[in-house]
Amino acid sequence: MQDEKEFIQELLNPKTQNAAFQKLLLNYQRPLYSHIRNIVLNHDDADDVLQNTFIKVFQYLKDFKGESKLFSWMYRIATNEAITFINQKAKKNGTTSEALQTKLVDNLKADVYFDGSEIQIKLQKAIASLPQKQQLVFKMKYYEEIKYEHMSEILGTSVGALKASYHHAVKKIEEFVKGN
Amino acid sequence: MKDFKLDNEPKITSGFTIPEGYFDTFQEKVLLRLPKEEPKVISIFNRKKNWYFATAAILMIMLSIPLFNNYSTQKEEVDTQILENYIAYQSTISQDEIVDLLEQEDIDKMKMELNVDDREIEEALKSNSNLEEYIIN
Repeated sequence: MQDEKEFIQELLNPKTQNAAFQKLLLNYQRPLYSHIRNIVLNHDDADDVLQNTFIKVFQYLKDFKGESKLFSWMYRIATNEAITFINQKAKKNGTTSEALQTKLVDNLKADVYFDGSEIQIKLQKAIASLPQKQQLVFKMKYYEEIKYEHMSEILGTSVGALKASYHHAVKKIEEFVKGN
Repeated sequence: MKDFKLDNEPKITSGFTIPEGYFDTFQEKVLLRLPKEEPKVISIFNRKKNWYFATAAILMIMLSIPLFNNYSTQKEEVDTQILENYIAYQSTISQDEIVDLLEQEDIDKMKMELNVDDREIEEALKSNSNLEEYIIN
């Protein structure tokens, strides 16, 4: 992509804003969708959260200070939106977000937009048994293959802590799969 | 399942699929939901314009004050002149009548004005050689 500062200027200038924002959508809609879908699990919810994410990006773009990279800033918004969504959904259903996560994984078998084998479902179940932060780190590292450096920028956690978190997650997942 | 090691397994994907053509319409969906810029309403009560009008009005009033003063005082002068002329030439009022209308104080003032020194009268009589002729005639 072109120079990021230049691109942000294009996004802020009312004359070039529309074209620049369309370009932003084109570049980020797929990776951000995957990121959100991995957290909220079903397509309709992912669609809602993704739309809200881009609208928030548009609204807060003028406050973007360029301290972090545009992509990590957008991932951070998407992560916050997705986790807030899950927590609110759990609250509405009167359960915890962990219990909701397990329920959502159980629903995956019946989901039209899930084409998973036995092992894929097993892995999802194993992930759902982890604490929220470990789930997030594992999904970002294993499914999305985001580098620790980038993940550190997105989540505001040190690389060392992220590596430890991932290591714990893998251990627990392996045990979960073995035990089931 | 014995000895399950995530790294030894072939990569397990998430298994999520996306409805066909989802990303083709996604952009449009978002663009339609973006907050639109408020259209600018051109108001007749525009603040800036009001200032212009107010300044113009005050300026007009200020400029017209001397004009007004000038006009109104002129009118008064004309009136007194007409009055004086009327009294002097047109009226049938006698001097005695006017004196009657005057207050004692006013009459005293006039007396004061006419209070001329005896000496001065003498001097005037001396210097005026034609005086005798006037008296005789």
